[in-house]
Amino acid sequence: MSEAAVWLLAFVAIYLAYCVYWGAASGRLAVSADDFFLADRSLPPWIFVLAATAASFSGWFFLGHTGLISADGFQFAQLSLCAVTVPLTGVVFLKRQWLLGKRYGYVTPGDMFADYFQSETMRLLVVFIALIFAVPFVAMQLSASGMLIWILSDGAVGPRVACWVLAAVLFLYVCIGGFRSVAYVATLQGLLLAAGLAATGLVAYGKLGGVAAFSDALALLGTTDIGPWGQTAEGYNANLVIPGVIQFTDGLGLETPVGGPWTAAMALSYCFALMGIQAAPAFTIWAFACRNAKGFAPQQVWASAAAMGLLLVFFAVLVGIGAQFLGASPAVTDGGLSLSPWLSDAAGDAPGLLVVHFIHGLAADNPWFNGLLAVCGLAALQAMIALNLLAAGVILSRDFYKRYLNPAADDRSLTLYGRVCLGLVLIAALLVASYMPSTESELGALALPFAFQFWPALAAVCWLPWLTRQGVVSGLFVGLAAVVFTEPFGESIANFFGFSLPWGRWPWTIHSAGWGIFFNLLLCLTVSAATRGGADRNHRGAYHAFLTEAAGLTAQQRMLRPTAWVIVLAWLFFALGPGAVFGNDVFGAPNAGIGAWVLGVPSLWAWQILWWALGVLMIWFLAYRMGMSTDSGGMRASGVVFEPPRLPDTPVADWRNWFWVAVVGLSLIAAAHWMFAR
Amino acid sequence: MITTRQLERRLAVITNWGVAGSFGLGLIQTGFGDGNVPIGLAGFGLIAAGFVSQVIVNKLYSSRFSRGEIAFGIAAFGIAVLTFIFAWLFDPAFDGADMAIGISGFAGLIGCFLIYLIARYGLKGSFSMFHRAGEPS
Repeated sequence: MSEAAVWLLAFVAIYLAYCVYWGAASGRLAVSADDFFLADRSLPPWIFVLAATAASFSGWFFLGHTGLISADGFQFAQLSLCAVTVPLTGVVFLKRQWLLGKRYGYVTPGDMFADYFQSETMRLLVVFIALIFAVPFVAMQLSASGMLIWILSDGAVGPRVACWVLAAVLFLYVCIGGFRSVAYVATLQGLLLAAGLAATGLVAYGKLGGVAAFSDALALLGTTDIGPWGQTAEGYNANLVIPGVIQFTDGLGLETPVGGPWTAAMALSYCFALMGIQAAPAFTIWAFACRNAKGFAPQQVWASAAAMGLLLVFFAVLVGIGAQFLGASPAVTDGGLSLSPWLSDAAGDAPGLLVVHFIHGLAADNPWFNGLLAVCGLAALQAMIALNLLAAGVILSRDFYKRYLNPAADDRSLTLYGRVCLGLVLIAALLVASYMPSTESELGALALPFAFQFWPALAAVCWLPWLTRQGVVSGLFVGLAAVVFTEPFGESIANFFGFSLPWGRWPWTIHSAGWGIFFNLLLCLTVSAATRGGADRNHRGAYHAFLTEAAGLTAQQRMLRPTAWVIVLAWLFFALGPGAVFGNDVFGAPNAGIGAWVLGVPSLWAWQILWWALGVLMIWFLAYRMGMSTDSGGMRASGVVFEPPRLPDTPVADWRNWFWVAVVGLSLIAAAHWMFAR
Repeated sequence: MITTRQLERRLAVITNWGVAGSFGLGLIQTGFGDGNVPIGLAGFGLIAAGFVSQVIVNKLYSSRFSRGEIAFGIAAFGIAVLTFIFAWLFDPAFDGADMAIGISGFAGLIGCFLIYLIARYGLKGSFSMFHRAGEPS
């Protein structure tokens, strides 16, 4: 075993011991179900700031985001601005969900939606989304963890073994300590994520020889068509520009967009998907678990938009695009543009593993760094796994077991079934990760766009009483369907029944989250307009009366409201929307050489830095000045635990009926597949 | 039984040192190994930052360094200084860069500690504290 592998295993062992320690320490405080599920609603602000940031950005940003920047260039780096849009969801919804949680004692988002809309369908949809997050999405992260250990240990530990061992430790601390242990461990995970991103960025900076040398290399690259996407329609190297506002292609797999897929429409709609992170059921549980609202604004403004934005806009670009000049791109190396061919050839093979190879490249000179950065990557991955796993356990226990199977369940059995459920979910995720990689990627890709479809439902609960139950539920169903049928899973379903979809993945260079929210809103607004009024409106009005009293705008904030709208819409337009293409050459044409670049860096990078800084100001304005994430009410009373009204004891609810419905349904599906599938 | 507040303080302390300590020690090790003075001093800087962070945590939680933390800190510092001195005396590869890293780094840490004592207890109080600690109980 190499010295680097020994350091790696030592660091991983210390990290896992840390996790188990906090699981045990938290477990001693988990007396009631409320303790286990929500840490007694008493998590302090600083823990929320670190842990919620870790869960929001997680392994995807540490590994995937940087890798895709390397693969697709600055057109994908535009998505670094999601450091601003991810917390935007939190700014809009988090405080109000927290207030509702304190007032009504909700434990799960299913409680909140079912109570507000008086709809059990909403509860079941929350269970469904939580499971999509918990099984395939967690499986993807577990697979990535296994690969990380496998590569960095020089093959001494197999990916599957690593995956199962890490999952076992994860289960141990989540199962023992509940939400408190997830939050406690995530504090270190948040810091390690940021430190890891910064450290890899600084290493890239050193290897590239500074920003000036990097810019010179980019200027040379701009005069060529080297890169996976060649040139755009304007004749620029596709690495350095956004390839248009939108391209009306049939979708990936059927038609390749000219100059790359990351048009402005794609960037905006992909950011919608990432905004699903804080709209997901797990994040609503985060809101319910907070002691007060003091952590919301710092997390959204300073930890997410400012700190993570800085890391993504500067450091992820240095690592991602810098890797092209460090040996990860054979075309760049062959073209004589390489600055220091230091990375192995394998680094460019799989974008998702670029950072892992990057860390591995450090192992020879600094084996301890190999181990420490591996733990940073692991921590980043596990932050989201643990949160989603716990959320699935909580939701299955409360929204399924207690609601439908055993309404008389006490604290003890609820906690027990929560633990059993999260164990089952983890085993399912492990099996998917180990034996069904294609299913994992197909279903995992649905998680974030699905979660974003909760935006109208959350908007209804937090802001818009005129959105009706019928509108929100029907919109959600259609939105989910639109997501499915603009992702590979939809194509697989179509193939199962013997036909092909006439479009590929993400048609018109619009991400599935964009298609989903379009149809979702269309139906939601139409049906809400048709079903407005009635007794339901009065029921919903009570919640909004409370929110207006507890979180209404002051006179000054009401005056600023139009300004806030203008700022947000202008930012979205220029940072991620159609206006983003102005950034292609506003600070100098990409192919005109370094002398023509006004700021000494590619125009699009300068544009991203500019709109990132303005984005931080925007989030600050909304969170603090508009009071959307601050609370002047101090410690709000809690202590109630929501108890939903009993379900009617009708024969329809009998599980035997549902069993036969399932049998007949599955038989029909099997018959259709047998008759029509190729 | 430990209270939630005590547990949160412990979490803050361990998290702080988990990051500052691990990166700091790693950078110090690389600094000495490669004879790279800026990297080595960056490591000592991180250790100092960890110390300052813990002082802030203590302030936020209205607490002081616990006996265990003091014992651990003094022991770790003592072992590090002794290792440095032995390496200086007996390691033939020990050079000027290593000396610069070690002396500047340890001096910086001692400076941080003295500044903390003076800020926390005042100039006279700091001396009195040591004086009292030496008296028979």
